Amino acid sequence: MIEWMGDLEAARKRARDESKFVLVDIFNPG
Amino acid sequence: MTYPQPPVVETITSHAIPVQFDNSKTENAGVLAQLHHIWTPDVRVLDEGGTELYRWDGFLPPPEFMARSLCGFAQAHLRRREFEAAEAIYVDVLTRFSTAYAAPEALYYLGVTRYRRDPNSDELLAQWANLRSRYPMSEYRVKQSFKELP
Repeated sequence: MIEWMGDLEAARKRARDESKFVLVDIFNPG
Repeated sequence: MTYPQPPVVETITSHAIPVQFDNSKTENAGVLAQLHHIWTPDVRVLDEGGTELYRWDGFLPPPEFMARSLCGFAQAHLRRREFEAAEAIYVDVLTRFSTAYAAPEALYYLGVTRYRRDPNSDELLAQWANLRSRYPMSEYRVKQSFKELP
């Protein structure tokens, strides 16, 4: 399972800390 | 369908921090406007500063998603001039996903990556020759077709 974050700024901070990129997925539940 | 697959999880989490937004929720309106969102699925690869380095729209089944996202991570490394990292990922795409729709892109940019790393190398024309041979009907063959002019 992917543990999706829901906060872009927090994801960017983790990416900086872990030397990774941020992958953003925008979806529609319908 | 795509995201629960373990190889997809591994592909994403080994290169990126995943963040997801539901476009039907009003609380996400700000970030969707910031990203100029228009259609789903809408996938972006950003650097830690929020700069977009790669994007695509539309559903892809697991193998196509893996190849496409790997091309995204490779392109992100390439744009940051991290040539060794980009090269390794493009080679991986061509090794494991040679029939994917993203494969011609990987071969095109493998040549670009090696050329940018060493402008004296003949790798650009060598890889583009491979591209003409392996993926003659691809858009990326067209993108290098000025090299085929007499």
